[in-house]
Amino acid sequence: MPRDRDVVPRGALRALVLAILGEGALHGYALARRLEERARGTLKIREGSLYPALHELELEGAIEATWTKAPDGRRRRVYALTRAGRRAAKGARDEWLAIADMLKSLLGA
Amino acid sequence: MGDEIARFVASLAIPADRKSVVLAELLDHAACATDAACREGRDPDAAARAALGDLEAMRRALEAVEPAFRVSRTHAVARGLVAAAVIALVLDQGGPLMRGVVGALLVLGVAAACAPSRLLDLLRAELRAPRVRGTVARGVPIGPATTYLYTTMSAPFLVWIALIVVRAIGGNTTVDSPISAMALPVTVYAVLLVEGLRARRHAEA
Repeated sequence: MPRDRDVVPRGALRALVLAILGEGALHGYALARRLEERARGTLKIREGSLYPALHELELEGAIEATWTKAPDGRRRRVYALTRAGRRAAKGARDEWLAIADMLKSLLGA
Repeated sequence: MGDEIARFVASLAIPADRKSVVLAELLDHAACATDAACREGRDPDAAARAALGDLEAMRRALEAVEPAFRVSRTHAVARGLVAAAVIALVLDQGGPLMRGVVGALLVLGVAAACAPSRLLDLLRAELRAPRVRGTVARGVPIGPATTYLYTTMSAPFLVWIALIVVRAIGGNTTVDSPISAMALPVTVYAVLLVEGLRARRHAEA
């Protein structure tokens, strides 16, 4: 059964953001769309949680933001991983893969 | 849509400089959604609205995170060290008057005077922020408010230990531990306990 497209486990969003930013710097909208494309329609990123999550990661020093200009001249903030962020991305990835493995074995999927 | 976003951002209880950041991001986000909808032949207004999602949920999340940008951890450590140095020296050099209630009140006064502005709001926001899932441990993010409190609370003891060692080398082995020295740790832990419980109740609600 397809799961609710609006549901992203709270801690998972952080891991997903770090994983996608590990592939290159992106602005918020592009990041959300990249995640949704990667999930092949099984995931809908709620912007209400995306920007607070990005700002929280920025506060922690896991990502850094720089101002750029969009093609039409509007201001745009682009996020990139810091060195600490790369470590956090690896930790978060390992943690969520371990959780997925555990659930797989427990639920017999 | 732009006006609606501007009104929403203006109504947020976050630092003024962060409002400009959030406004620019949300306008860019809505514009991207509009552009994509136009390319794909969808309703651009509906796309922009859908892209922003539940604004009230966003308000709650932003108001929990953004106040922490008001002061950096480095700034908080610097303020904490200044407060700690004053507290350590005042209690050490202040004589008998500084060993009781007067000393305790003075310690709390110095800590309050050196604190970043709206420290309590900052602490509440930190305690209500989502849990950190790091590589070592998980827990409440250590933000500037928590950093300030722990620095101010801990550093005086380092100064006093150093003074004890220096005096012991000089032949003075008497150690005096006035009750006023504990005023700040007791207060800090009480505030952390109360605000931590309130943050937990807030999260459960």
